Amino acid sequence: MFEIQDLSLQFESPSLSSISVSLTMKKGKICAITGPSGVGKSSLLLAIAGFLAPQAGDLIFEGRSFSKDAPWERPVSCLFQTDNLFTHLSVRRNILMGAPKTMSKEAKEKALIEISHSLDIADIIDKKASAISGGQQQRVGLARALLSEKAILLLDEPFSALDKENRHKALSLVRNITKKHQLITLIVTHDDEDISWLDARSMAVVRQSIS
Amino acid sequence: MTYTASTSKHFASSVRFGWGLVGVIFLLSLAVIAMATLLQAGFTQSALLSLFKSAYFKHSLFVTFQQAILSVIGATLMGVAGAVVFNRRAYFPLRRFILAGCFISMIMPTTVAALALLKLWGKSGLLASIGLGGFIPDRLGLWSVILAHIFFNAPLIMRVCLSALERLPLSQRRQASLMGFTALAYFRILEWPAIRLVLPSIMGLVLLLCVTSFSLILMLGGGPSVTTLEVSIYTALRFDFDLGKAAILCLIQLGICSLILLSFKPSTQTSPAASTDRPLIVSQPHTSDLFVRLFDGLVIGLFVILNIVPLILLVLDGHYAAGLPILSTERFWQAFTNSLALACLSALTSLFLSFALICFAHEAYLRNLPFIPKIIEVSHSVFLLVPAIVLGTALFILLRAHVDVFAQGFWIIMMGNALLSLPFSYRIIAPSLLRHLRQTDRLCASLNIKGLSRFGYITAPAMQIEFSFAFGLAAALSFGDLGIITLFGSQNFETLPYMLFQYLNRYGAVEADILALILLISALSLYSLAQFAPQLFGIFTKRRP
Repeated sequence: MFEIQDLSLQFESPSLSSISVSLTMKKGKICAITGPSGVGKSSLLLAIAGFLAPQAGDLIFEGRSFSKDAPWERPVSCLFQTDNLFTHLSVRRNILMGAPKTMSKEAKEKALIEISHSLDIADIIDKKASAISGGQQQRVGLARALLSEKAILLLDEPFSALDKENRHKALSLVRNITKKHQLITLIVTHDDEDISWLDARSMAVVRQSIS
Repeated sequence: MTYTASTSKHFASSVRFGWGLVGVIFLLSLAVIAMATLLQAGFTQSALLSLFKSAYFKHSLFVTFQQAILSVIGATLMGVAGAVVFNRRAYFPLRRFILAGCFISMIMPTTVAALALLKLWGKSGLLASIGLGGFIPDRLGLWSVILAHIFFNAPLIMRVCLSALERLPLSQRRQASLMGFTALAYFRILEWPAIRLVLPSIMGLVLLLCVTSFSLILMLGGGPSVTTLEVSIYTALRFDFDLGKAAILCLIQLGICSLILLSFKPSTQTSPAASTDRPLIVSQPHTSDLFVRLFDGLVIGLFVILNIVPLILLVLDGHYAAGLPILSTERFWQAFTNSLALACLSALTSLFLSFALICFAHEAYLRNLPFIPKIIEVSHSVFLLVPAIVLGTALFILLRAHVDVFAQGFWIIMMGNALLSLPFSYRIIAPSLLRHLRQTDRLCASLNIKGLSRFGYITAPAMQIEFSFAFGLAAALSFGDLGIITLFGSQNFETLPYMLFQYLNRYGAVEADILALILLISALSLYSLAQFAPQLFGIFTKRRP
């Protein structure tokens, strides 16, 4: 179970305002974060990942608060719109970087083969990340997130640059891996069609001005 | 914005094209004539053979490379380590102070730097006076030259590498943070690939600067045991008056510099674009590790000892009262006026030449003449190759048959300093000015704004930052330069650095401290004034009536 308890973020631009969010999610479920541009959807994900400090509130996973933890200590993996990979490295190295440090070399290789087959990237794992398409790059990013074995997956419009067909494929993939790996997935999206493809519940972020 | 062939011709200007062509011809002719003059003056087979056989030549060639290679290794290690540490410690309280100190050392006159370093490392410096003389290397001549080169170049390498690290995509830094990279993994996977892109060209430049270093060797070398090709040229010309030997040495040095420049071609790979995301806390996972903290502390400490302490000592440990009487002498004010006039005129000339070359490059773009930008690149880069003393020698030989070179020293030095700062001012101004010209051509043509009006009302206000930076840098470099002046300087014509050089060579001269302080303050003021004067006095901000 993942809980966001009264998490509040304050913004100074364009005027003093804030968002306040509460949410409870079970494993294997997806929540689509919606709302107009600039309302603070991405900021909410950044706060969950530990890159923005919230003014108030708490983040709890399986009964333990992690809002004071460093980003790398949180049960969270992220996928952003762009720059999710180290493009000068191979796909293999990019994926293996997500593996927990305690995992043995053999276990890593086995997991890599499994995940790369399930995400249909097995034939490109020895290519440089800069040499693969945008859709493949996002799948490699997902593969790394899965290998990290972190329970919460945050997706900040990662498929917005893909064409419709590839986006639907990617969204189906997210839906399937969330169920299969019992993840808790939060995805930022503007599109109602995406939400139905994901079979997700949605939560609208609303900004309130502070007078 | 891009133009089609049919629209671009409407914006082309014959005047701009003509000025640019004259500029390129002038620069290339000067370089070619200078080289031809050197060849004609002294290139004989017997002179060449006898030079190659002399032990002094072999020794100076060895020392040239020895000090340059050791300096580059030291400056690179320190510069890269500094960039990594200051990037990691973005919120370190003294970061801004140390970076500001490093910037000062980058633009401070070499004569002043030499004095500042001696106040720490010298036989009667701070280390010796507090009983830490054991830390002073035995061969102070060679090591003080290397320390001085590290003092100047480590901040330069650090600045370039730090900029490359700051351009790392925010998303990648976030991913590294989420994955809890160790310091070594962070360096290997994220930082080193970014640094590797910029390092070869900046190392090449530093090697070039160290090979051609002149005034520091002259002041800190401590005699013939630490001599370089550049100093040998100076000795041959100034003391032996052996033009043939000087010419051959010049050509050898030119050959070496060309090889260095060709071997360290700038990388063609582009670094990632600067992140436009708003600043976020992206702390690196390993900043609190004991080993990392020790390493960071060591690097910061090294920067403080090598770059900041000498500056502080220069200001606090000077015997100013004893040297004050020099300020009331006519000799001092004459030297000060000469330096100021040289700095302003050479910076203006450098700016004017850069502007003409860039306009020519723009014209070439409009007229679809792709070979011209390559010629322009050669015409200003050639002065990066030609060391000050080589240029001075060529001008000396070239002009001595026609004019009294010592009487015309001011103009020769002014032109020499302008040409030597040309590669820097061109590189500062060119990217923005080319973009500006392309963006405003259409509007200026439709409003019929051209020539000086366009420059005064449109271009100059838009380019204020780049013009001010280029002018300030060229003026500060020229103000503190001790290069060509060593050839043309005399009792009748002195600049402040030349005067300080004279005093440093005189045992027990109390005037050196105050001269160094004035030189430092003046060079920094000149640079700062160039940055702020346009806003203070409304220069470049005219409104069209």
